[in-house]
Amino acid sequence: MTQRPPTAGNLFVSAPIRAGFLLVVSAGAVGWLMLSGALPARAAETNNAAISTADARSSLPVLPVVPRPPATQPEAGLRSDTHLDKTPPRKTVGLDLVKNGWTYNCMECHKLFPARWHYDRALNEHKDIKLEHGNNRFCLNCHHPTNHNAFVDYDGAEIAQADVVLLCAKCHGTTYRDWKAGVHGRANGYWNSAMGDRTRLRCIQCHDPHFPKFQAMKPLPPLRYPSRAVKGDDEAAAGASGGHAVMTQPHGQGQPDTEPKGPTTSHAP
Amino acid sequence: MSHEPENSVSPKTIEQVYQPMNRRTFLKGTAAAMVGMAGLVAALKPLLALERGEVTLHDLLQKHYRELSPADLERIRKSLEAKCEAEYGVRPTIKDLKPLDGVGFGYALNLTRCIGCRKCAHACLAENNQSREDANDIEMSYIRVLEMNKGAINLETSNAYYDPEKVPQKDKYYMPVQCHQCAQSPCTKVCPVQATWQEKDGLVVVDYNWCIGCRYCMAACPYDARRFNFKKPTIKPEAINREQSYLSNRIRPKGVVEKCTFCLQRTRAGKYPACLEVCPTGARVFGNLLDPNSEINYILNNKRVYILKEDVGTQPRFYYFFDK
Amino acid sequence: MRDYVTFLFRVWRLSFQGSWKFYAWMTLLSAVSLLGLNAYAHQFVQGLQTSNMTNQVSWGAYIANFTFLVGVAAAAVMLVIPAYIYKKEYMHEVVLFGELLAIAVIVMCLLFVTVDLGHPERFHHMIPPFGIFNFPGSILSWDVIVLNGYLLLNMHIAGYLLYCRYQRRKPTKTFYIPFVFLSIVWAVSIHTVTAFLYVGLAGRSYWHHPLVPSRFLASAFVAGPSLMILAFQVIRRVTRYYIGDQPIFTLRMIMTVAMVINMFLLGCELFTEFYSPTQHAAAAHYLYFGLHGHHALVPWIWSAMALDFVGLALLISPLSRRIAGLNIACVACFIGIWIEKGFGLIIPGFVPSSLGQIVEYLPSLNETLVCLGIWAFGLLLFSWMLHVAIPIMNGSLRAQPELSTTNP
Repeated sequence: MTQRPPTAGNLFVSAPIRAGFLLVVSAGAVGWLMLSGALPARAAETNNAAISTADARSSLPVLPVVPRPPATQPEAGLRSDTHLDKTPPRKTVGLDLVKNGWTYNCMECHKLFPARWHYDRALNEHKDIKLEHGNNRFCLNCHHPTNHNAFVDYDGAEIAQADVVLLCAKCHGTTYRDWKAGVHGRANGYWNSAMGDRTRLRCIQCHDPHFPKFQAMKPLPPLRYPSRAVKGDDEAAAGASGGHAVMTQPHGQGQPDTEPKGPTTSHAP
Repeated sequence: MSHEPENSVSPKTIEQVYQPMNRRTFLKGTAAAMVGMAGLVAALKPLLALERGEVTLHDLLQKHYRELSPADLERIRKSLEAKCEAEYGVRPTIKDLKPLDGVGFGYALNLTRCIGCRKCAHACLAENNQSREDANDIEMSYIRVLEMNKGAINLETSNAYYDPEKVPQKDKYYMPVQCHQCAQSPCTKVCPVQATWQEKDGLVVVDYNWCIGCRYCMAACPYDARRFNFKKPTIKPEAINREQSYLSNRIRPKGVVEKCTFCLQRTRAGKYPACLEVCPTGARVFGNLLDPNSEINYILNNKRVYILKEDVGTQPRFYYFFDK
Repeated sequence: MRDYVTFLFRVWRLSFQGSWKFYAWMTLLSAVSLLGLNAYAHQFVQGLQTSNMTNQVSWGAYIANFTFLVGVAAAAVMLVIPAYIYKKEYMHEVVLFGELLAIAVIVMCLLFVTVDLGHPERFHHMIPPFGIFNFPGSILSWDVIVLNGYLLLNMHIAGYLLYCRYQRRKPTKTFYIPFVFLSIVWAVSIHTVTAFLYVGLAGRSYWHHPLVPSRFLASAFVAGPSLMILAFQVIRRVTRYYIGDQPIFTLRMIMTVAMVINMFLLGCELFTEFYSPTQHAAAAHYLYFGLHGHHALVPWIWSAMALDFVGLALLISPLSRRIAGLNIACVACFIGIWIEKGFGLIIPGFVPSSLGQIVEYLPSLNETLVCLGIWAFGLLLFSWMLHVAIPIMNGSLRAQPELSTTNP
């Protein structure tokens, strides 16, 4: 996937955003700030729904529908494995590009609002991004200062979203080496390349780049203790020593605190 | 004391001691025999509950998997499919995938990455059709995830029943254990009928139609990797994975041992095993040991590898490794 | 040949003749056997879920009883050796009963293995040419061979001697003496091979222990003779066959020596397990003291220990020179070893499991009934064999009865 140049045409890449943008144009900067909070929710709607809202909204001119760009990140696992839960552990909040089917087209907004190096006050946008990634303090450590659809290399050159691995490799050399060798991160699909494709998930499909450490999650229930076995004194066992707790009751359906099921790599194709 | 005279010659013969049969004793004997027969029939009455087709002449005469002709195997696979449809309401496709040439499977698990979420253990169920009443019942999963105390690799203080709000816990790490497909497999060695054996690609499989259910292999396994069907498997039709294979995930009969086959039905078709597919942290690495460029060989060459119970001499094809 | 058919017919007829006590006893045993059969029928239909065995504790009461009984069967050799090697005349009077006991007990062993199978109807998979015999790899295959071999040996020896006695002729030595000596080696082998079943499993440190076969033999040579001592007293009391005190006290001596060795080996085992606090001692810890709050077997093993020590104390003291004291010692030793060698050996092999989990086990009701049924059936078989053998031994069942009736 190549990087789209930040042209005016690219501004209208996706219908939900376009709907938001029409209002931005009419209501001005303050209105936009308020709306940006609502954007993620709207982004989840389908194209058609967004268009009809826009139609009903006003007599503003209807802009042509622009198809979403194809996914820049591979899908986790095989489509045929519907019986398996292939959700990656990435837990993100707020402007969650992966979660809400965003287009990764940051330039939609940043065309108007150039990013700055220093944030010394809480802003309305990206408020929920909590940057806890080593000693990174600045957005522009990773994001490209002028093209927000891209990441930035050592020399200021652009790294395409699809090549995000190269960005991470700037610091995580050994991990990159392992990833390339196929032993870090998820490989899915076919181990035998002669029989099918292997997909390698990219760094940000599992790690939230702003908070790369995996969030703790609720484990799925333990092996239920067979009821026919002799029960030990469970309380004593559960409390003390080594935790040889013996589970006799069925456990509630444990759901991991991650994203809902299904491929989360956004972008319906 | 030597011979008691009594022991050498008895004054009376048996025929003198016990009177010959007359009408009275005959009737008494007949009555006793009737009572005995009635008791026998009553004792065997539970057998009436046997399902039709549970023990058939065909099954009894079936040969060992490795001695079956292709035509026989074809017929048996079809009849198993029909049986599954009749009993569970779902018609599966039961394939017979043979080992691939030049392939020896190896599996590695990154102990640094595993967070103990048990997704592998549950995916194992979804893939391999183990007996379970509901989604929570994973007793028969081939994977046990052990919660270990940091600072040691001590199985004795491990806990397989952990269920905290969140994993990973701060002072713990997690070690999933499943069949190690040992090159020196104690389980295949002890099986009295060769119902379990190692295939060319290293997978240890079970012929469920040959296993007599003595569970000696379970006693022999140092990794607690084998499961026994103490009852006829219970599984809801919607939970059944229809992609099945004769030596792996077809629904087992009761009274036989089953085990992890590295998802033979997937891996011999080139796919990754189910436990790897779902591992959220990518802690699992699977590949061909005979391919020098495979990921698994990269790990063996570049990582610090730990073999569980190496002292037992099983030579597993399953490795644990550490990162960072 | 015709004689032999007549012999079989007379034996068959005799099987159904006896005093009312005989009938009552056999009826009782049959009833309990049928109860066990009924429980087994349930198990056959529902699978082994009727037992309390689990994936973690995959062998239970059946295999425990099996292990113990193999020892009892092997102990018949303790009558054969004094009789045939040391040529003690008085032991010849009872050696046959030891062999009959071995037959009954081996049948019980085979039954215990069979009821433990998930698919007993596939038993023929072990028998070439119908099946594949994993020989010599599987110790269980060895066990099948040695157990059945021992059964056949004893059936041959006992059957041949009885038939000769019936015909009132001297047995041809070449027909049975080689088998007698073979059976001595064989008896040791059945118990050694059974021990190897467990010792061979490197993954279970509680079993993987070179002392196990020796201890098996030592404890077997206590349990077997103690049962025989009791059986001999029953025989001499309720049948017309006299057994003197001499065989009984020979057995007492054997028991005493074996028990001393057994307890010594036990001490060695306990020292090894507990002196250095290794992880391998977890199973022993579980057995004797409980582990992580689980102690289902603790009362059992300490009862066994107490019984063993009572038995030992009685045996080495003059108290057991009196029959009453000896009987108490026999009962104590028999039960003590039954617990210690059955449950005390099999269950801790699985607790904690090879991954350190603790799942406890005690037999279910259904399992217990099956076990009881097999014990009753074994007793039934032994009683029947005695009922037939004793008249042959004392001459009241013999060939050419017309001759003897005319000349009383």
